[in-house]
Amino acid sequence: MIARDVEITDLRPDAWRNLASLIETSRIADVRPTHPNLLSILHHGGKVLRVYAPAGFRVPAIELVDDPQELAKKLYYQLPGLDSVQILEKDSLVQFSDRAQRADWVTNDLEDFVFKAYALAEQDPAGLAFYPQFSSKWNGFPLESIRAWITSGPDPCAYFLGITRNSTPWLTLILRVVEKKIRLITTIDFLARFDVPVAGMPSNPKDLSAVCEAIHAHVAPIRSALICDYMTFARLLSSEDKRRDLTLAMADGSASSFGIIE
Amino acid sequence: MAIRIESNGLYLEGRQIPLYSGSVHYWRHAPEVWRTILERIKELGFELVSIPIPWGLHESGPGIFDFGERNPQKGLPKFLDLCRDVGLLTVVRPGPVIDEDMPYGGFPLRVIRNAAVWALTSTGAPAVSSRLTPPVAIPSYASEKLFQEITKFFDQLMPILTPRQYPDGPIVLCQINRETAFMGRVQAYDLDYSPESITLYRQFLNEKYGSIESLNGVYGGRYTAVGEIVPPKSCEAVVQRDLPWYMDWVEYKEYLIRRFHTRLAQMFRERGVTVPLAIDGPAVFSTPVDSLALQKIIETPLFGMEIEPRPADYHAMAAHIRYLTGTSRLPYASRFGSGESWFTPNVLTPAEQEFCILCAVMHGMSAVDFHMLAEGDRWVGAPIKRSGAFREEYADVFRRLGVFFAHHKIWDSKKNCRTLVLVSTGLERYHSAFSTLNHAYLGLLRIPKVFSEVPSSLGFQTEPMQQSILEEGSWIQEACRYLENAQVEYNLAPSRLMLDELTKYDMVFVPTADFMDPQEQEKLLGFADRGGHLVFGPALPTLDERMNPASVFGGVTPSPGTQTRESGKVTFLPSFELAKDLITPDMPNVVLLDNPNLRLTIRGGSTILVYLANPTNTIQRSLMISSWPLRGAWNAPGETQAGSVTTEVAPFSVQVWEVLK
Repeated sequence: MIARDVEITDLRPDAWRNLASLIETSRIADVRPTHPNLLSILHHGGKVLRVYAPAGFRVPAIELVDDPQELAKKLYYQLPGLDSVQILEKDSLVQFSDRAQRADWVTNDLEDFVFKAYALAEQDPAGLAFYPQFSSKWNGFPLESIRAWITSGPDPCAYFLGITRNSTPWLTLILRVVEKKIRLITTIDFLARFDVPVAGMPSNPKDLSAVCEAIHAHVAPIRSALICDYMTFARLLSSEDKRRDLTLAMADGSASSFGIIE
Repeated sequence: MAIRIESNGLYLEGRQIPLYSGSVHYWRHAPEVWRTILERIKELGFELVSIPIPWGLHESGPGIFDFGERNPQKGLPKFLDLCRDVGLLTVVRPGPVIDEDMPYGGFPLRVIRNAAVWALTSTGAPAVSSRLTPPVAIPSYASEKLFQEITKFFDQLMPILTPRQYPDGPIVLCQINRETAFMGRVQAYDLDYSPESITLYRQFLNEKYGSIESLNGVYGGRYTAVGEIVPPKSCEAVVQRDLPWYMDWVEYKEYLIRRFHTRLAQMFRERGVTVPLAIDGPAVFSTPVDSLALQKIIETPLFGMEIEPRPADYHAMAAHIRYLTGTSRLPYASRFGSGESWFTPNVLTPAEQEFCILCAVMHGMSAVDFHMLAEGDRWVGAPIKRSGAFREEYADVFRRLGVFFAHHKIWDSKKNCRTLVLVSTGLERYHSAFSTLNHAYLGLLRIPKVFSEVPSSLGFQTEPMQQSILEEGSWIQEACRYLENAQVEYNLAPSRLMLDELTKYDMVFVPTADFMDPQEQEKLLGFADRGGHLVFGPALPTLDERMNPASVFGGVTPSPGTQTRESGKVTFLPSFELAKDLITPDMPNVVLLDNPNLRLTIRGGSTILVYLANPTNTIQRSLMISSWPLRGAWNAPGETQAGSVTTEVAPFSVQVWEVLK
C-alpha cells in the first residue's frame, strides 16, 4: 500500500503530533497496544520456563502447557482486564524469527514486512498461541479493507483528512496514490510550494474545504476527503455505525466530505 | 596534521572552532535552494555543516557513479564548493552505513542483496533489520566481498573529497561509518554466524590464546586445532568453567567491530584523507562497543554517540551524556535529533527540543551534530524547512541557544565533576552472554525482557547477571541513585579506563562480583594509592575472568568497611544502606537544592553557570542555597544575593544561572 520510496514531506509538526496521538489511541493495526496488559508464558516443549504477568494480575501456577491455544483462551477469560495472552514455545520463537528474516525484504511495500511477520507468527499455532488473535484493524476497519479502498481509486488520486479543533487546523493529512501505491504523505504545508497561503489556514471545517481545490490542482484529483471538527471525528471513530453517524454529521454541518466516503 | 582535536573543539592551525554542527542531506533538496539553506544554517550560529554521503544514491548502476554529472541533485562536489563559498566548514560522513531513512540503508541494492555480504543469524538466516524503513539485510563486518565493494565506492568518492580538505577546501572532519554495532543488533547470539565471521572468530581465539594447549587449559577441552571450535548459539553454561567459551564469543564481537573500523580507517588514510576521523557509536555503555579501543584506532579521541532527545527519557539521556563525558576528551553527540523521524510517536515541541539540548549540555556534552537541521523528507520538526525557509518556532530555539552558547563560551567550559562510576566490562560481558532469545522480531511480540535472560546459577556468591548497569536494582544503578540523591554529579566510563584518566577524579565507584580481572583491580588500587577514594561492591572478587582463584581487593579490604591506603582510601560496600559517610561535605555542589526532583550541575569556564533541570511534568519549586550571588542567564529571573532564594522551574525545562564573582 505504501511505496517503499514514498515521499513523506512537509510535515507540519503539530499536525503530525496529533496524527501520532490518534494512531496511539486508536491502535492502528491493532496488533499490539503500546502498554498492554499482556500475559506471556514461555515454555520449552511444554515445560513452563517463565511466566510474565502485568502488575496486579495473579496467575494460577502453571507447570505444563498441553494445549497452548486452549490455555491462552482460558487464561484470557479467567483474568478479566488482560488485553491478550500469548503462550510461546522457545524453539518456535527461534523459528519464527528465522522465517521472518528469510521472507522477501526487497520488493515489499513499506508496511508489508511487519504485517507479514505477524502473519507468520500466527502460522504456528502449536508453537505460538495468541488470544485474541492479531486483528490488524484500525477502529474497526480491517487493514485489508483499508488497503482495498485506498488502492481502488482512479490513477492518480488524492485523499484528504482535515480536522479542526479550537478554531485551528488540528490535523491535515494528504495522500497521493499513483499506480495503487501511496507515493506522497504530507500535510497542508506541502501546498506552500505552490504559493497557497497555508500559514493562515482556515479555522473551521467549512473554510478548510477550500484546501481541497488546492489539493486537486497541485497534488492529484481528490477521490475522497473528510473534513470535520475534532469532536465529530472522535465520535465517528468510536461509532458502531459510522455510515449513519457520518450522514448525520454532514446533515448538521459538523462534517463535510468530497468524493466517495465508503 | 593541520587540524587537531582538543576538549573544546577543533583547532585549525591554532584557531579554535567549536564542533557544533548540523546536517544537511543535499540530495533531498533542490540545488536551487542549497545556498539558501546553507546561509540559514549560518544565521542560526553554526560554522560547520555535516554531510552524509549515501553510496546507493551515487551508484546509479553497477560501477556507474553520478556525483551530479547527470542528476544535479546528486552534485556532491558542487555542494561542498558551495559550503566553502558560503563560509561553512564541513564534516563528511561517507559511511558505508549511513541509514538516514534511505532505501536499503543507503547501500546500493546490487550490493546489499548479494548473500556474500550478509551477516547471518545463528539459524543461518540473513539478519534483516526492520528498524530501517524499508528493511535491509545487515552487512557482515567480516565480509571480504563487502570490503571489495566499499573499495570501488571509495575509489570514486575520495578523489572528490581529498582535494576539498582543509585548508584547500571546507572538509575538516571525516566520520567513519554509522551505527557502529551491526546497525543496532547488539545481542550476543543474534549474529554474525556467516562463514567468514566464524573464520575470524577462530582467528581471534588464536590471537587471544596463542596455542591450542593454552585454550584447552581454559576451556577444559581436548581440541586439536582451533578450527574445531564452533561458536555458541545460546547460553547453556552449567558450571563456572563453562563460562570462557561464551564470554569469548561476546568478546569476539568487540574484536569484529574493532577490526572492521580499523580497516575502514586505513582505507580512508590510504586514499588521502588527512583530516581527523570520528566514530559514531550507538547509545550503549559496553559490549559489543569498546569505545576506548575504538578511539585508539582513529588516532583521535573522538568517539561520538547517537542521542535521542526524549524529555520523558531524561535519565537515559543524562546517563549517555555522562558516559560520553567520562569516556571521551571531547564529549560528542554525533547525532542529536533536531526534529524527529516521521514514524516517531512524539514529535518534539520547540520547548522540548530546548530542554533536551540544555540537559545534554548540563551533563557535559561539548560537541554536537544536530541531525537534519535542514528538513529533508521523512523528517519532521527541523528548524529549516525543505524549501529553505525557517520553521520559525524551532529556528528560534536554535537561534537563541546559539547566542547563549557563544556569549557564555559554553564549549570552552567543563562540567564540575570529581566522581566517576565505572561500568564493569567483565560484568557487562557476562550479562550479554546470559541474554539469549535475542532473535529479531521477537520485539514485535512484546516479549518480556526477562524471557531473554538465561537463569544463571553457577554457584556465585553474588549473581553477576544482576549487577549489570542494565538491571534495575544493581549495585551500579544504586550508586548512581545514591550520588544523584546526594546532589553529586558524576561521569560514567568503562572499567578499562586508564589510570591517568581515573586520577582526574576524587572518587571512583566500581561494581564487582565473584570474578574480576586482577589487573583491573591493581589499577584501581593504584588510583587509591594516588589519593583517590575507591568504592567497590557488592562482592569481594575471589576469581579471575577465567575462573581461577585470584584476589587482589581481598588483600586490602577482606571485609566491608573502609581502609586507608597510602594517601587514599578503599571502601568495600556491599550495600548502599551502609553508605553513611561516603560523601564528604565538600563533595556536593556549592549550590544546593532542597527539592530532589530537580537536577543540578555546574559548568565552569570563563563564566560559571549553574544548570537546574526539571525532568518532571509538574512545576517544581526549590530553595536554592548558594554561597555565590547569581544572575539569571536562561529561563531564570533577575539577580540574587549570596544566600538562599526560592526558585520555580517549569515542567521539562532548564534554568541557567550565572555566578557573579
